[in-house]
Amino acid sequence: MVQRNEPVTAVPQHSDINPQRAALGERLFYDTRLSRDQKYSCATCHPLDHGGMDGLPVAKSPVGGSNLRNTLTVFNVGLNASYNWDGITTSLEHHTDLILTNPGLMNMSWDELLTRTRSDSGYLAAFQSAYPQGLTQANVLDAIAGFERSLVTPDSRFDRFLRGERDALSPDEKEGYRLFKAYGCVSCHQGANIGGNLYQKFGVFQETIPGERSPSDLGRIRITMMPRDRHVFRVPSLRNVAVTAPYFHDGRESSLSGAVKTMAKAQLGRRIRKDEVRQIVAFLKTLTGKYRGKILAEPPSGEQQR
Amino acid sequence: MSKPIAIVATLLLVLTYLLIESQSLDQGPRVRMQQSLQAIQLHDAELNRDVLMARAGLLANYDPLVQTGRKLSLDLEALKREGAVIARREPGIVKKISALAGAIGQKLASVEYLKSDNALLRNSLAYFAQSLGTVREQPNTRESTMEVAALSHGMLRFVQGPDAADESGWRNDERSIRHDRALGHASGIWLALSHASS
Repeated sequence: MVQRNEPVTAVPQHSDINPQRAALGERLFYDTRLSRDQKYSCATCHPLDHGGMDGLPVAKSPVGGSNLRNTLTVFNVGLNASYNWDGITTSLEHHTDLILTNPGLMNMSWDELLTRTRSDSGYLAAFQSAYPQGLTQANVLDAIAGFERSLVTPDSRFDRFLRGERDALSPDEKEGYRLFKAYGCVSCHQGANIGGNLYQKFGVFQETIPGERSPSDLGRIRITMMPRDRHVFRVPSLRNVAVTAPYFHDGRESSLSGAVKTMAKAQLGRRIRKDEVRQIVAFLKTLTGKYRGKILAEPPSGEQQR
Repeated sequence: MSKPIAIVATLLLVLTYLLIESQSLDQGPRVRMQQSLQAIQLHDAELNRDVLMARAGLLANYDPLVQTGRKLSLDLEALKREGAVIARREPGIVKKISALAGAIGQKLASVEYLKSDNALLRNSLAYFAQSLGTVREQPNTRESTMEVAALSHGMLRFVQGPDAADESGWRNDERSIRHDRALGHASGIWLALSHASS
């Protein structure tokens, strides 16, 4: 069943992340002083005990208004080729900068952020110890991005299967993987992150965004200004997909089986039988990995998170 | 005696000159710039190889393209850093590095489109082959089956080496099949035509 040249590869189990800097990044990740009103931290929208995302259809802006999209999980973010639904940047540090300074999100200025963090003697000492230049904008971004890169979820049952543990999947789950490849889902959802490394139009065979209710529906055209990128989005990773509902850029689909049916019709131009949908969903559920030895859990409910 | 003295003096002068040159600020950046250029050449060749493999359906996933693209971007950053130092003496180098950066940027953008298009192509080819197979099981006329075979052949030729003549040929076949009522009921054939059109 497992071929030598599988399109999906296991999450790497080792990394070269500096543990001291990642620990510093973790502290920053949970620090609400990184938002202007001091109520939000990175972990507010990316709770690590619940799939690394908020469970809401679209993120809530701390300052009101809602041009935002579905929050993508922060787990395995280092395996992505680019960031956010439009692929606004290929640098995790740059993306972190954009989030911190976005007036609709953390709404911070670097002057204010550095003043706040430098007033904390713990941060000053830790940065002096971890970086020759101490507490600077570049090092704050490096520490947060380093921590985020450490958020990998190895040891999913599917990865164990890929590593040769043949009994890690049930016959239904194995059949689901076969269908996933045979129907062509794997054309876009491939690689170590099972997606996250290319862009695709949402609605290849069927219109999925009639009327463009929001500028956030436009997709990658907002970045490239190329007409062919209208309704084109970054293909999201399917790692931990069972614990990161709701789905799609606007969070329109709450169930995994519904998302599979939509993808089959809109992206592959196919109708898939009920039992096949069930088997593909069974396979997708095997992609849930572990963080710090614990299997990831889904958010209890989006509204309860805030 | 005057000749050996002249030789020693000349050697001393040359060595002093080389010593000063080797200690000048330019030497380090120059060597590192050459290393960056070599790295760019190497990673560009890797990218070309992986693009060809992806196009032929031999690349299992797109991670290698992403990784090589990242390496190229890092090489370019290093080149710019060293170029900025050298530019103090040779301002013209900035323009050349900028041109190279533009070309690499364009190439990486093209690779992004290739990945998107290739994903659709691979998917459509698989579906196309499967759907056309079902036509044989339908009670069609022999003529209709011939038309489908012609479409199939034309599309394969187009995929191997896309050119306008091939495209117009298989688009004619496609139109002909769309007007064929007998084939109109063949399971999956309309969807196969949609894949062919896209």
